[in-house]
Amino acid sequence: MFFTQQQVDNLIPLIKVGIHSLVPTFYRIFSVAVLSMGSPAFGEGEAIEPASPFVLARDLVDQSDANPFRFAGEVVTPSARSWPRYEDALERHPTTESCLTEDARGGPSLDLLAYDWMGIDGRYAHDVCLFRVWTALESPELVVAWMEEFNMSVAGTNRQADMVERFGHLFTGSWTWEETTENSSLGGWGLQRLLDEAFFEPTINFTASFFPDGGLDYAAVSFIRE
Amino acid sequence: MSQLVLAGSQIYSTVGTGNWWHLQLVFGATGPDRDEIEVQFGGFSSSETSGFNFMPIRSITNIDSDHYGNVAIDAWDEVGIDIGTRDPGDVWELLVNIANQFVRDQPNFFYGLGQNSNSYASCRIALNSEMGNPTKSTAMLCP
Repeated sequence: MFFTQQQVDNLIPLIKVGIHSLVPTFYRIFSVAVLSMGSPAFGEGEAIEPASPFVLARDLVDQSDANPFRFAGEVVTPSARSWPRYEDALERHPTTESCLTEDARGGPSLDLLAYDWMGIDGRYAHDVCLFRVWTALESPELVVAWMEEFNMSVAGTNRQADMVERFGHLFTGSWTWEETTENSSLGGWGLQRLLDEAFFEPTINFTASFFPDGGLDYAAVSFIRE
Repeated sequence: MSQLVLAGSQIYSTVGTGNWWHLQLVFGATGPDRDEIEVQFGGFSSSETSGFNFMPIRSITNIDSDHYGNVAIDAWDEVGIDIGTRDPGDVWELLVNIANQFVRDQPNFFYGLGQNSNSYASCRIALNSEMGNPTKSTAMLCP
């Protein structure tokens, strides 16, 4: 079995992720390689589309969906105080796949960049869906890369090592109002769906909070009122 | 060395409602990205049931008198909090646990613009060092 140079180049960033996520990352590399081999182009000397670290095999995503939704340090169950805010969103988005655009659903692999910004309704639904997608990505470094794919400015990559060791990673991606409306195609109802309201013009934050051992604690949409 | 600070900022309004005054607890060493706990005025929207928005813990970077993350601001000022001989990380962990409780529960505290709360006074004091006396109209928006 041989990898093309293009495939090797594509896999190198994956190998650079933190030691805590090496095992699932290698599983991802294996999955990506298998998916590539299964394509008609593999081994036929034709151009191969670079495998994306954001495209995961369905069984990996299904395993990830077994993780219960958490928010601000607790699992959100019917007995949780936050349950009334999340009950509808959890019903509408029971899986990672339900957070993707319709044309990205149904295949043997799922592209987690096909996040349904326009279809997910309200900040609490985004809390749920970002939790599902980021949990599937698993690696903090991949979550940062996912934010950067959407042109977010990301804070937390320059966090002190002792804070990471004690509290875990904390990343906040953000769009200013101008970036939200001009660069992300989220003007009008898109923004309404993101925040439930848009009478002011906020900077929007997307926070990923990880446990010290690397698992995602919660995802949260918030804003800075301008 | 990580330090716990109380910080005040003034953020330009983009919708002509006057500038917004923010208070936040910030933890970390100056220079690297730091963490913040913030509570914001809930606003006037009928969709919000709380007088406050208790924000999830966030990471912030690039803070100076002109920037708060990627937001252009009018002023930023911060003062260290004296916690005696306590470990700053222990104090921050306790504050995060308390803040997360408010974030989860989103308690419906009433808050009016005319309320002269401690946070209102602290905000004015913090910003006085940077801005001079706030005008009456903008000071009313100090949370």
